Amino acid sequence: MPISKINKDLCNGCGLCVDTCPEDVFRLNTQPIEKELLSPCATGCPASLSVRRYSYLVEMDETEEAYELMREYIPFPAITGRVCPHPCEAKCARCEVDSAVNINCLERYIADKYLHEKAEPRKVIYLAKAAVIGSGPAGLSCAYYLSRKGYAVTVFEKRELPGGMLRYGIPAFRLDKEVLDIEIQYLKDMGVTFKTGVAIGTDITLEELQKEYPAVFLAVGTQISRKVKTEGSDLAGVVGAFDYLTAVNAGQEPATPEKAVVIGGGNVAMDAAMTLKKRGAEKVTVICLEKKEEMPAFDKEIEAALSEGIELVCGYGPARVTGTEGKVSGIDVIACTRVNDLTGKFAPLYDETVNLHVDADMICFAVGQGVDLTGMPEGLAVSPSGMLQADKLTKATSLAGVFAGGDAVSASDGSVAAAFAAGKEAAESMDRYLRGADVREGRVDATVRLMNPPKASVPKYPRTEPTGKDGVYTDNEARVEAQRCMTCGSRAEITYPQDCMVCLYCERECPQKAITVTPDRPGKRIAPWDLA
Amino acid sequence: MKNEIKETRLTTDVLVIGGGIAGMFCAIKAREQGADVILLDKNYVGRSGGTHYAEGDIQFFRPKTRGHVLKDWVDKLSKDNEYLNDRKWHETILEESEERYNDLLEWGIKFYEKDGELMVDGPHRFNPIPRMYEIISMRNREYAPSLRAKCLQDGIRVYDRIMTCELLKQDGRVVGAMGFHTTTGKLYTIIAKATVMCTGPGTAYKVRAMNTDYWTGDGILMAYRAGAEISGMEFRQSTGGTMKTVYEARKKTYPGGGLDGQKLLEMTADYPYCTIQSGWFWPQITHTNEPVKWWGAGEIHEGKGPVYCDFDNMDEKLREHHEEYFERVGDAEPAKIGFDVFNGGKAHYPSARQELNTPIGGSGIWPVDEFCASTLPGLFAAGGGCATRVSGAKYGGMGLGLNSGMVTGTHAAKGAIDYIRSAPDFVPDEAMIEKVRNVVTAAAVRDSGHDPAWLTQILQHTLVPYYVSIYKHEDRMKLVLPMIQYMKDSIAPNLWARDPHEWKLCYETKNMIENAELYLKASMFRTESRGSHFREDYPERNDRDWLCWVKMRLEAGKDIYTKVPVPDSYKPDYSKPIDELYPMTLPDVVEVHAQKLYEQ
Ligand SMILES: Cc1cc2nc3c(=O)[nH]c(=O)nc-3n(C[C@H](O)[C@H](O)[C@H](O)COP(=O)(O)OP(=O)(O)OC[C@H]3O[C@@H](n4cnc5c(N)ncnc54)[C@H](O)[C@@H]3O)c2cc1C
Ligand SMILES: Cc1cc2nc3c(=O)[nH]c(=O)nc-3n(C[C@H](O)[C@H](O)[C@H](O)COP(=O)(O)OP(=O)(O)OC[C@H]3O[C@@H](n4cnc5c(N)ncnc54)[C@H](O)[C@@H]3O)c2cc1C
Ligand code: SF4
Repeated sequence: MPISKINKDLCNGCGLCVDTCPEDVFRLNTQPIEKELLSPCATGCPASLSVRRYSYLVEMDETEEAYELMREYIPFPAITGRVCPHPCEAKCARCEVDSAVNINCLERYIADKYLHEKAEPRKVIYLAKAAVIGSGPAGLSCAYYLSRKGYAVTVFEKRELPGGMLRYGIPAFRLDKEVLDIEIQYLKDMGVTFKTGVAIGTDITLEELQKEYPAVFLAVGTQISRKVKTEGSDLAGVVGAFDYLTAVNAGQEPATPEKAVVIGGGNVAMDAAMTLKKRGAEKVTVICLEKKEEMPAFDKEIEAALSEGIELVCGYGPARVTGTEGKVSGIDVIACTRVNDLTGKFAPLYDETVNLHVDADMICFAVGQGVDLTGMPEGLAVSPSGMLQADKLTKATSLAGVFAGGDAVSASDGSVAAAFAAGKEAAESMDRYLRGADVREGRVDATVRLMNPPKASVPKYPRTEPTGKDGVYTDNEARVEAQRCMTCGSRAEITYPQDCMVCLYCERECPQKAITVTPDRPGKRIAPWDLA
Repeated sequence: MKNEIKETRLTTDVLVIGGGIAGMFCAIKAREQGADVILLDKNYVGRSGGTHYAEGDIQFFRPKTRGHVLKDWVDKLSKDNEYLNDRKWHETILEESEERYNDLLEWGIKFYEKDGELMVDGPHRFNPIPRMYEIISMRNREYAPSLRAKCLQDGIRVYDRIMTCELLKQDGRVVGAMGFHTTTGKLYTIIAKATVMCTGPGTAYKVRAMNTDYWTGDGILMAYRAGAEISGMEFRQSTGGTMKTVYEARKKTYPGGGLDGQKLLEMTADYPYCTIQSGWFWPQITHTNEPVKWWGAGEIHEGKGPVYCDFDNMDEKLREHHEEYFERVGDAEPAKIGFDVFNGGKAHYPSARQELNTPIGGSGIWPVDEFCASTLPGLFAAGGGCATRVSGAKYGGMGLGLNSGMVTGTHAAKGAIDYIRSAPDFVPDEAMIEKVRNVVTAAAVRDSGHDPAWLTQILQHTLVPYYVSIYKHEDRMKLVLPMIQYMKDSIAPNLWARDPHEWKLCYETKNMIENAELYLKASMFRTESRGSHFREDYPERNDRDWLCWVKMRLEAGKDIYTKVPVPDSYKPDYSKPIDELYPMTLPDVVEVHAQKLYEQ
């Protein structure tokens, strides 16, 4: 055969041969068997979503397949498509060519296209029932995958409405609650039962629950807003950011202060500040320990906050909350000279001689959340900081049949995508547990071998920003953006070698020199006149 | 594949089929005027067609700065094209070449430069070729992908890997086309207000070792089946093969002429050298400006045909040329295909495929006006797909393919937009679409049938031998035509595709067979020899009867031929000495005839 070989070790999956061959000889396998061939973006995604695969499917005009593929990794891409901080994009190899592929907008585009599809009721094929405690993203994800596998799933939620932080934490201007309702309805249509207003540990104990449900997923999240204990921190007007956001999201219309201070430099602080501003606070000041460029919040969020007129005071930490008549009047802050120690552990140092006072009638702490494990059994292992402990791969806790994931578990990176991923892994474990199979077998932490991305040979063109309705891509924009994906880590395959016309174009175009075209008929030819 | 065929329907203003230079220009220009544009390619827009293989040379007419004279230039082209080119078109192409060059600059396309100036004659030429025109070169392998990027940025809806199969026609108008995705197998029905065919020439029979096998004439055949007029079918197969070549090759290779490679090499040894560009090789004879005389005598049976290159017994001067060239180009590829200049040996030229795959064919959809409208309302054609008027009886001229692609693409865009403004609205006729759908999907839905690769092979062995397709004679064509027709009527309708890739092969094979049929028919019709069309039974040029284009049209299952004489002002200037009239002197008989005409 003229085209005979692609050197697998060299092939970086750019697909130039596939595009260039005039005879349609190659196919691009965006999911090669080799497990280690994760694309850079997938290594950045908590759910290891195969971006290259769905990008390629979009390029192939197969959006429905792309959607189905996505749901193998992420149950509700319409949600991550809106709120995911897309750590994948920072890892995208295209950053080195021009700019990252707009992965998040592609996700949103695909997801929104099928958002209104009705769910088919799932057949229950197992007798054993599964319970999910907590209806945040981790719980919803676990319920989704368990239901797909054929289990009857019941979700217990202590609040009035399901959704966890999706409903009560993340502000509506970032996640339309209608989208959440659609996805929850989808689960209901699949056959998932929701029992809201039931707090496990208080209304029913976990042990009782386990009698009916041999497998349980604990996805209780972090419901307690932490505050920095200082002088005056129990004055009226000192609130937790999450508590405040919850009140807003639950429609309780909490009173809006004139001047507010938000303590914290993360995205929750930004959300709280933005929400305060949007609700009419005249002056909102965000105060954080980090320097501006070190703030954990995303640049986009910071920019948005600044453009709303929110003030930023970076490099200061709270010293004391001042007040009059039991009510907050402001806060004294002191300069922070160091946030983390050399090992990266949180250990702030302060210089009290540099200080500021900021007037405020509300101090909103956005300095992290704690887990509420009221009424949970003794045997449940907890980390020193009070978080649940669960196996990284299988999500198994110290109690048999109890799995845990999401924000409640220590070492979770506290994002919706991570919660989705945890729910999916837990569902896999619970399925195995219920069927008596080995929970751990075959599940390895994907060792990552980064590909040699096809930088030089890729024609540059700018990242596409959506112009469609609601900031969603039009069909064509999505197709254009999908083509910017360099499909790193895929494999070109010689599928139709008999059609090769020996034009040598593939060999020439391959940036990795991975392709060998051999002559049509190797060896010296013998012609009639040579014989004579 | 049965039951698996998914379907999608797209609607647009302008549908451009084929993403070579003509297609990309047409799409960009139509988009500039605000139209919604879909651009389809059976391969990958910007990485396919002659466009991606071309060196990037373009004829560049600069009367003001370089003193070029339009008449001299076009006279030369007319002579090279044996007076069947359209002088008016050539004038337009040249006159607009600077505008198109400015477009390219604006879009960031890079050209080869030397000392800060545009490099004239390009980096690829071994020796400057004496001519009265100039060629500049785009950076090859870069410009086509860059044009693609431009299309994407402009918001053109680019769809790759869509093998377009049939035009949709209702109330006598073309209203779109139907095709399928060669990877996913999805069926695409595209409803368009105007359709522009930019699928390149129809010259390929999928013979190994050259790279023009995408030129299976799909567009020309689609248009023909829909009732459009086409022309130049008798010429389209050829570029450098000239009557003289064929004539001489015939004399030398037939018994008596001697099947002697050495001899043959001698015959062609006026410095043939081999340029290796973009993975292909192209022997040229420099000092006569005759592209590849020795292409003429090839035939399909690789390694057994009469043409080969003997590097063991190579003329010293020739060897120097080769070595110098290869060293400069620094390419190991020729050795891969058997051309090992440094180590000697005999390379058997893969043969007639060269003759049958041409950079720009003389065939195509017949344009009725300068805006590339075909005889079917709603259908336009640009680039290699409407090359008749550019190419004449033979290879049009270096650097003319891309240039004419750009210019005709631009014109077709204007034609299409103007047409849309006045064309009546329509509601797609579902019954018609259903009919076309049945035709297009036939190969994919059956459960058994013939293998397209097998049929292609049979077609090659029937048509491609030089004594049929190059050295033509009515007797032999009459023998072969029924075979081709049998394939068309009885085998092609039973081809079976097991997957979308094979589905594409099925359609291409069908088109190649129909292409072959029209080739033979048109060749029989023209009872003279001219350009690349050589008839053993009519070896002379016959200016009196045949300085005309032959148009063909399908009507009620019958081919209708029409002769369109070229305007008198296009004809040779008989006041000139005979050997200046035509590009080369002809075999004795022909010369005598021409002499007679000349004396009249
Ligand atoms: C303001 C804010 C903005 C955020 N923005 C983003 C963002 O833009 N992008 C992003 O990726 N992440 C964001 N996050 C983080 C993200 O919301 C969380 O990481 C994620 O929701 C964690 O999911 P979970 O399922 O583990 O927990 P949760 O979403 O907290 O859900 C836990 C659920 O369990 C219920 N529950 C708790 N205890 C019990 C019990 N005993 N019995 C029954 N039910 C119980 C709770 O009521 C809650 O509904 C944000 C968080 C906040 C607070
Ligand atoms: C090796 C080589 C070198 C050349 N060098 C030069 C040069 O230096 N200068 C010059 O001026 N000319 C050159 N030419 C000629 C020049 O390339 C062509 O004349 C020109 O590219 C034709 O452009 P086009 O857009 O009409 O067709 P093409 O570029 O051939 O494009 C046709 C497109 O249509 C697509 N297509 C075909 N059938 C279908 C179908 N059924 N459905 C969908 N899509 C389809 C094909 O895939 C292809 O992409 C060269 C040609 C070759 C082969
Ligand atoms: S040599 Fe040409 S035809 Fe063969 S596989 Fe490579 S690109 Fe395709």
